[in-house]
Amino acid sequence: MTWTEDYIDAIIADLASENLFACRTLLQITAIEYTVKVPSLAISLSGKPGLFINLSFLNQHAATEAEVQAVLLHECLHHILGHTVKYRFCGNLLNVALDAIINAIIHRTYGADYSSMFNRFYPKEGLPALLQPSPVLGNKQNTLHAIHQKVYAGSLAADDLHELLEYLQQEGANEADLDGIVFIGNHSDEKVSAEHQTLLDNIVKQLDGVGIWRKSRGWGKSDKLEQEKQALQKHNIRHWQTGTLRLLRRCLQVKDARKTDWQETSIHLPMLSQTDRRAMVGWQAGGLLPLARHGVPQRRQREQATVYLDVSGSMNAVLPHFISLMHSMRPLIQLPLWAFSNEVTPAVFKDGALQYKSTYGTSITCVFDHMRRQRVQKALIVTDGYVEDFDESALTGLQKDKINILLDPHGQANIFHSMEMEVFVLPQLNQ
Amino acid sequence: MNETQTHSVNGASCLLHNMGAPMSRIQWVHASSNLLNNCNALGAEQNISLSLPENMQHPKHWVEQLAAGLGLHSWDAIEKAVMLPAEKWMVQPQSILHDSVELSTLEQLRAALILSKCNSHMYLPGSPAIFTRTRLHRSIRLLRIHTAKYYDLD
Repeated sequence: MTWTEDYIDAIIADLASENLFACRTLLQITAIEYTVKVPSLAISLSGKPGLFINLSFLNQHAATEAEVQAVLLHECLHHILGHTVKYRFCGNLLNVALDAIINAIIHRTYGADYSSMFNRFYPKEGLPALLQPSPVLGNKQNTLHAIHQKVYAGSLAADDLHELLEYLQQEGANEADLDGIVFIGNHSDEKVSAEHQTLLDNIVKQLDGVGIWRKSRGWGKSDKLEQEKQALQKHNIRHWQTGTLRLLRRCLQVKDARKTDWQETSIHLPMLSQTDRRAMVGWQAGGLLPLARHGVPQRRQREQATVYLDVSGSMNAVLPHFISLMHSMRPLIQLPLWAFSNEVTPAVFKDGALQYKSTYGTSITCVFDHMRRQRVQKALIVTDGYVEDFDESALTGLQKDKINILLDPHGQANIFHSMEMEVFVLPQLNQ
Repeated sequence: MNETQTHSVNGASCLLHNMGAPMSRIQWVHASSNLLNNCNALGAEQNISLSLPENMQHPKHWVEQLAAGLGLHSWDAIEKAVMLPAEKWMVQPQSILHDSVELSTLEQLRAALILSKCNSHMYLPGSPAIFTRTRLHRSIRLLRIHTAKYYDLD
């Protein structure tokens, strides 16, 4: 590939715009100079910041834009990770360790499109093979292979550089073995000015450290923390579903004797069943034919629960969650379900949405009146509990133990407890 | 949250409840809603993709050749001739086969200019045009979300 200065400028501008590894600030302050004084490329931060690029190096080794960006990122990462400050003495062994860590970070984060040049550039055998993501290491059991796997899997991250160095030295590696190897970028002992060190520190603060350090920070793309939050939310959603299902089952009753459903009933027969693996294991272990569970479809009268959903103004925040919950359990709910505010009105699911009327006020006595009028014996009332005080007379003709209250996480249960009614309080979704 | 309050009238305590609005209002709440699948909230959108020649050496030169074919020989003339969106847009990656898209030279030029001002997330009309193969090779959908419409604020 023949790269021109104009084209490389555009690639650097693109890299700065995408801000990979928060390199934008560094690339924006450096003046680009095309020169043959550096063998590959170098970033100097000792005086006036400069990015020195040897165009013939790129023409010879970089085949794609991604590979040019990988070389630029390689050099930026030396500065961002503080290699130029921490390590005053640069020997070849140290260079291998530093470059291996950086190449692994680029490969892990942006893939083979970016890191493919490293495979072509570095020698394929011995210690330098650590610098390429896919070396051909003959014996898979050897220690070099093991350490390569650790570096490129991220088990040995930037934090572990010393560990990697010590390991290499223990394995008997010495710098003489690495004579003649060409490294990408500037590996001279060059100081960074105090002003630019502050700038580098600020860049490090922008990074969340995912893929670079073993323990990433809690901002930005903090995948593990996000996964934990999602797992917790999933657990709480499950709690909502199981709790609601349990209450709905308590409220099931036959509304129309003519309506029937096929339901699976379990019966036990002295005959092995594919679904009852426990019985199968028992037979194999004991030799006696056990009673195995078989599912038999049976026509049963349809049982559904009557649900009263509080649609007052104070429920606005949690109402979408409850509506989604009711929508997912609608086979068990007698439709239309009843929405109540100051009055009870039918609410219907249509095109994936619940249509209901609300005055945005709250009253629960209208629910009890409605239950009496409609002769509802069992019901589930979904509410936040911010309702008027009522006494035993409001429940005349109704059985308290057959009215189940499902309360939102911030709900008020006092009034129902004082009337000795059973209340199930849902957990908060985000805690 | 509490919608009840106690008032004392002539020494006796009575309870006033939140009696709500004088008339019921009908409300629709979707069982699940999402900003990006809410069709009302999505504004105009455009699909942009280009078919680039394999032997292209420098994307900028290729764009200049396209412009020259239309008699546009300077970047000022190109900017005047090609109307580009003036607002920021969101960029969503699309999977469009480049070969299947047939564009006129002017459309290709416009697509190239738009793509040159898009990073992987946003179309930034004020940014300089950056001509790289990575940018011009993207297939994207530009979209703008009208938050006012989404929340029915209009």
